[in-house]
Amino acid sequence: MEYPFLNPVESLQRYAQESPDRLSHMLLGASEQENQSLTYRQLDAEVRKIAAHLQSVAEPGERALLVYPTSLEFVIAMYACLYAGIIPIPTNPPGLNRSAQRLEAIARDAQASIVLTTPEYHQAFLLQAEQFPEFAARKWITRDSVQAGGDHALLPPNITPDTIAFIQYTSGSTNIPKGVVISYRNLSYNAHAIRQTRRHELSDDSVILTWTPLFHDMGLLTAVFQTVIDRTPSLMMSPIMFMQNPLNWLRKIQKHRVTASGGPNFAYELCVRKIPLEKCEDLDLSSWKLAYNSAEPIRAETQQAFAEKFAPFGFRPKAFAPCYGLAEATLEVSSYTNQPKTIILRVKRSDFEEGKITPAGPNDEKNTVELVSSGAPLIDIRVAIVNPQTRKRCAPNEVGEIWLAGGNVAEGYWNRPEDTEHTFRAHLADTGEGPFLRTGDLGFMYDGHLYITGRLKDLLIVRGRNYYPQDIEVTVEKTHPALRPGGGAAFSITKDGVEHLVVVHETQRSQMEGVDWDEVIKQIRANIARDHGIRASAVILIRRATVAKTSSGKIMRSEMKRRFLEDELEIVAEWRAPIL
Amino acid sequence: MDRNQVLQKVREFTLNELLKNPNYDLKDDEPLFSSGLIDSFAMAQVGVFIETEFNLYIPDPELTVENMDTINQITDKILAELAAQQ
Repeated sequence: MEYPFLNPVESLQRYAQESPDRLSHMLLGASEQENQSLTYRQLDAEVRKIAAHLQSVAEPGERALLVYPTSLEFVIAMYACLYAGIIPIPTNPPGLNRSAQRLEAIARDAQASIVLTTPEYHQAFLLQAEQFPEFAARKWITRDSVQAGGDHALLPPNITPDTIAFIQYTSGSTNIPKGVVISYRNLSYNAHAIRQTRRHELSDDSVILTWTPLFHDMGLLTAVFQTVIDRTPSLMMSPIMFMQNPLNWLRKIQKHRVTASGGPNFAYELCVRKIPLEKCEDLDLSSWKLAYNSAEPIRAETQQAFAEKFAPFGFRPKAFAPCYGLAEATLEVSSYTNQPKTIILRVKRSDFEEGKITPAGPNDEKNTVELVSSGAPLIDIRVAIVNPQTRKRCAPNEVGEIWLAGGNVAEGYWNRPEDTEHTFRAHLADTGEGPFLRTGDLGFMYDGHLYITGRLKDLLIVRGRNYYPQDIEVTVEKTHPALRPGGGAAFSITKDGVEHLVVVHETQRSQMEGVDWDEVIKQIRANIARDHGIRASAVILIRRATVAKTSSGKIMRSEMKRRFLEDELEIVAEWRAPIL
Repeated sequence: MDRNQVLQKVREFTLNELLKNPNYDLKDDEPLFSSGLIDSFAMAQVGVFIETEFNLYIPDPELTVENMDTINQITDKILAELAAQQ
């Protein structure tokens, strides 16, 4: 099927003409007086200033690092690059007292000649100029330097579906960061995919609120691009405001009659756990029509608890939209919404551990795993479930690696032909069908819906049985309230040729008074054995906020394993089997 | 700890935690796993029970249905390990 080409640059320029005074973006402050906003006309004018300056110092196709907190300046800088034909690279801004090492690595990998940032960051990086001379020598541009730069005429960029729109550096992994190249075609297909998810919500009265980081695909594609393409006012607040108090999120939804907002599963979990009901008295969430849940495994119990807690305040369970996506596919791959309840599939645990999907019968009560649907693939995305070893399609009831094809699949990794070939150009071994994107995620299709069961490289295989680390991590965190939700890492280590399960979990300070940690560890060991039929060979409880996560909040299990092996964990209490 | 004390602890654990039925009339020689009374999943629970209750670690290769199919066998294994420790 053909989809019309949606180009955010064209959208912004058109709305600046057609609806110049309509709200484009608003940065929400702690109080309403601190809000800052831009209409389409204002945004377009600000963008043109920087874009003209960029064209005067760089050639089209050059890369620019963008180093900003959540701000209107970031949005202006993104569009300024697109207007000027410069390729923007949003980055996770380090604290002002932190090393520029990661930014320097990205700038080097992308051969970025320009750094766009705030005067404050520029000052902070100047202090590190001796340490990173190459990075400091790039063309640094801030709002101050542009005002000093004078007037240049802006030449319209030549944008086709093949033009590179931006490069998204994937967060976190211990390897060197890889830049996913997103074309305007990818942006356009992704915009159609999101529209499909938004179909119950999208109207002239829509308002989107984003608090997830803008350098990450979910925040970037939603707050910067989709809102402009769909002419939806884009409200933004900093992730810190959410983390300080999740009620801030819900209050802003109420205040601004927000219709679409979301986050990873942990955000809903935090709302359930951290918001006291007595603070909710006049809360009104009735405007909220689309509550997307993506970027980490979706838990049915979280959604249910959230719905139960906030339904009295006007939250509609039908608003939930579980999604699956990844930066290598721009953002969104599958979703569903407008369902009264989370769609769950109950399968036999014994078969599941062997990679087989068998719906559980009424007598399988103890032998059951619940899996949450990630919805149906959107627009024209094709999904193949593939055995990662043989590279042949799995049988319909088998778990395999999720391979994808479609217009939202990115062009590849910047300047990495081998990685691109391996990840983006996979073909089935028997039929030669392809190319497919290898997602590295495991899952299966059932009844037209995609179910994600884990990460290929994180899968624990102990004595021939498959265990999903996230399942074990949930068991651990449920053992005691002093264990931080989402703060665990389960992985396996090899000792004398045998695989052993190790679990590491964060404690939380607020709950630590008078806790008998040895007793908690005993309980953890018993619960893992009961729920998973495996013994942990080590249980390590670590200090709060010391579990390694990517900037998007995914647990870095391989990094935690490295710290375990190299004795770098900050241990509160531990137990190890004598064989370790 | 004499044999009867150990056996009573194993019996209690088996009835309460594995069978979830304190009133079940469990014989000391009744096969637990090979009979299908309990699934093999529960072997890990037996292992953790022995670790936490008796401070003994039975390595995986010894934690098998063959060695641990009845509460008598489990008891004897615990006693043998306790004796080996001294």
